[in-house]
Amino acid sequence: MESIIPLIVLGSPIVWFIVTYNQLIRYRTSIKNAWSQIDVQLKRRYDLIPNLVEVAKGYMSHERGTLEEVIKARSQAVDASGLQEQTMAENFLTQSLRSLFAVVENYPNLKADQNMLSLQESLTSTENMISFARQFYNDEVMKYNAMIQSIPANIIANLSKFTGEEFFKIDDSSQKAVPKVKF
Amino acid sequence: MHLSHVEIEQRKKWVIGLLLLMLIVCYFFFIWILAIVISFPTVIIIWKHPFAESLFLGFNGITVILGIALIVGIIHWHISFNRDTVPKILRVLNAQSLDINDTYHQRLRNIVEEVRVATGGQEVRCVVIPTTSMNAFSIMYFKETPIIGVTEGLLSKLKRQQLVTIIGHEMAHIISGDCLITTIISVLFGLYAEILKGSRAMIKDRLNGEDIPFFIIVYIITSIVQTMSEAMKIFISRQHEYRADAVAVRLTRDPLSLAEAIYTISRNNRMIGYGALSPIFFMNPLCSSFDENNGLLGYLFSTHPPVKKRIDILLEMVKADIEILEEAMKAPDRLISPADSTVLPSKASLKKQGWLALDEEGKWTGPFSLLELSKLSWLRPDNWVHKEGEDKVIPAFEDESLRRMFKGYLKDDQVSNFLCPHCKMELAEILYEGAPIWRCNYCEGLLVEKSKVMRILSRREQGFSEEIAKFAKFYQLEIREKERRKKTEQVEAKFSLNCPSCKKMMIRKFYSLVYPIEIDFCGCCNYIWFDKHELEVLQYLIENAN
Repeated sequence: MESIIPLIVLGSPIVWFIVTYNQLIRYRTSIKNAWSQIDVQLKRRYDLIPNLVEVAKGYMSHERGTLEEVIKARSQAVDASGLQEQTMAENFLTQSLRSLFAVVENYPNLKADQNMLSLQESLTSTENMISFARQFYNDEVMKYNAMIQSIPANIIANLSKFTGEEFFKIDDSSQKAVPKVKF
Repeated sequence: MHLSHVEIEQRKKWVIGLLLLMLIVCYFFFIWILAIVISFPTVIIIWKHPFAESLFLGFNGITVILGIALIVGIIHWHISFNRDTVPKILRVLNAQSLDINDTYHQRLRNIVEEVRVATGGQEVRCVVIPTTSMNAFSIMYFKETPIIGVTEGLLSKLKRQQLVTIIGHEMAHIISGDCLITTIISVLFGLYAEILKGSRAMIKDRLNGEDIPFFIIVYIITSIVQTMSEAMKIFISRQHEYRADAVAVRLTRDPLSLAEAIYTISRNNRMIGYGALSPIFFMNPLCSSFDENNGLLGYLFSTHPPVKKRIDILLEMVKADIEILEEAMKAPDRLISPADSTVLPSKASLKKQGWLALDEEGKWTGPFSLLELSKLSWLRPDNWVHKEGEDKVIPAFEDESLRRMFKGYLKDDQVSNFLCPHCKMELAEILYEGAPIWRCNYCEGLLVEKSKVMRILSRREQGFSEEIAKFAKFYQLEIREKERRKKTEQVEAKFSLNCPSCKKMMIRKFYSLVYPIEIDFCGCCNYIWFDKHELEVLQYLIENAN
């Protein structure tokens, strides 16, 4: 009976270490997953744009410039590597899409086109998903960062080299208001 | 509170255990009281037993009661929860899966996907209830995918962003797990209370003298179940709704839209399905004034919080008041408007032939060449035509070359296999108020599946022409006339139409006694044929009824 007490005293820090360590690992993989979700949504948007241009082409033959700009912005965003570059390319793409939709306003036939309507709906949905995915990513980062900095989990975090993750930030001021495709 | 999926699963077991315990405790007290009531006269009056002792029935008595409660509780639990439960709820609510070709349903599917992303990928299924009233619900069950349901009325009357917040609210119930409690409690008593209530009404109808004892027994059982279902509501806190609102704001970051949505729903009809299932809904379908009660009784027994307080909390978040809300709601938003398919005439080369045609005034005009015929605006496939030099007078659709001419108006991808019952021409598939249906381009009649009619009726028409208003007034006058006459939906018809699908005779009837629009209905295929304007007039009548 007496041998149990030292066992508990020695054992409980080990149990606590394992539980906390696993918790940290869970958070870190969750953050990775959240980040890849953003990429999935961005990819969805890239896939929608060619269809959009294809539909718009038929109606707005005088607006070659706008359409070509969208195509260019898209390929730039696809090729971009690194967080900084990608963010810039995404901003450019959002802007060019915005100007495209401003032009679409002048074409009532195009606006009423069934394909165009469903594409617009898909794009709105994708924009929302991108912002929700970023929001979820930031939430996860916040939970993780808070944990590795607070006592006592910070001991384990320091020992096992858990470093804080970066938040997703939007530098472009025009992007701070959620990029919304307005129709 | 933001639980991971693992944590939700873990919590489920606790919740289930707790609820089972609660059920057994409920039965225990119930049987105890019953035992006291029954034993009271026998024990006290006949044996002159002391009152206090009889109240507790002794240790043995309590054990027996506990045993009975345990058995009854577990049996009840097992009857209530089996594989059929979720389908049963959905059947009771008449919920249907999404139609992937319907634009409104596509939008709903997109919105659910968006909110799923915001929660980090919570699995969820989506269903729609075809009714004009506005409400939403969520149910969650032991191992199955949670379900979010939305009515067609909500789908069509709310703006996109408002719908996102409503789905966010329902999703919040799911990720916080309180949805499981409400579902179990509703099912435990509510579902059966409703079914028994239905049987009670049925028995009452067929009641004759001999059945009275049987009826009394059914009556007592249903009353007990109903009382218990009311009592169980004490375990469903209205705090759940406040919390779900808060989580919805956390997910969608848009308190104003949620406030708008609550405001809109509270000012519309939200009646749906069965009252006993009310706890699973976004807003109490029963619209009881009790919900607005801020006192202790309301706090204990009401399952939904006061609407005003909910809106106030949300507006507080954006530092707005009710006037800003009303102002914000005026902004129009119709992302997807139903577009009629445009019919493009093709320039097919047409041979020269002399045709005489019977015009609207009953005069023979012509002769026309085929090209000239194709330019006649009044010529329809069911007009009588007559080829020069031949004696036969035939409807236009019976001639092969004229048929080809009419068919030239249709785009290939629109053509369906259905033939118009009047014009005998192929019907074109179009989107009407977002729902895919078939239309004849000549007589402008519409073929609609019965299940889609309710969907269309609950959507708001963008504006009716004066012509429709005139027709509707005419029908409204006729309503009173017909109500005085026979109370039957069947209409005597001079001739019946053939179903475009199965070619059998369709039944001519009124849409309903309240809206006596004549429709043709095929009972085999469940298709309804609307002649020109009839569907729009029906929509007009229903929308202006309130």
